[in-house]
Amino acid sequence: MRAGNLQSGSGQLQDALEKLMLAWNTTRDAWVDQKAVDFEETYLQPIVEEVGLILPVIGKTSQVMGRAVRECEE
Amino acid sequence: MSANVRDIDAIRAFRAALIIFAEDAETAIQLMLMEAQKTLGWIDHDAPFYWKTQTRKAYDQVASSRVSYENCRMRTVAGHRSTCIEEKQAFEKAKRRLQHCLDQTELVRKWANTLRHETDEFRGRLAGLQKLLSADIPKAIALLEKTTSLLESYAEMTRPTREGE
Repeated sequence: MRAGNLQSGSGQLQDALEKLMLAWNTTRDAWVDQKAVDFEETYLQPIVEEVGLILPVIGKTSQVMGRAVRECEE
Repeated sequence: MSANVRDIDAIRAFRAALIIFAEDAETAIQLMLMEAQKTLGWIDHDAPFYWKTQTRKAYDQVASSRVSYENCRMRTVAGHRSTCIEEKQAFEKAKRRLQHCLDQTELVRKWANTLRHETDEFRGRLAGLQKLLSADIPKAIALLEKTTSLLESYAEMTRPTREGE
């Protein structure tokens, strides 16, 4: 049995966030008013924070699953 | 509040990037939930079934190797009792295997509880991001859409009219 591969999903999530922030940086060069600042604070920062909190949890859960599978096999 | 937007297309492009992010993040979440469920299914069903089967086989092996050992000990060759070393070793090995199967059965039971708890926490953590994806990001996308529409209308209004128009 192969333990649940959460690292692949974790990588996809990180990639998606990196692309989003790259796109935001490009947009920020063209959108330079207070509304852009508010938009970033209201919608983008919570995403960055949430993903930042989730990634270590994914790593920990993945480790626990891997250990469980290893110990419960022959 | 005055707007300072040098390129409306940049906002439009970011709106598209946000839609793609929401789709990719949801796909990643679903993939991880599926993988976690697969492992939980294995430890809840497949592993207990495997060790139950192995335990039954181990009990059978202990019983048959005990009979072989006892029979050997009863046997005499030219008035001498056999040492029955091989039979004894087989009996001891069968007992060790049985103990291993019983230990693994208990270990699987403990890990199943731990993994259920871990998976619940994991799902709860992902639910926070899923809420952002399903509730907040659509609001952000709608806001970007409204912003670009307003800016386009404003640009249309302030565009200098050519002579004769």
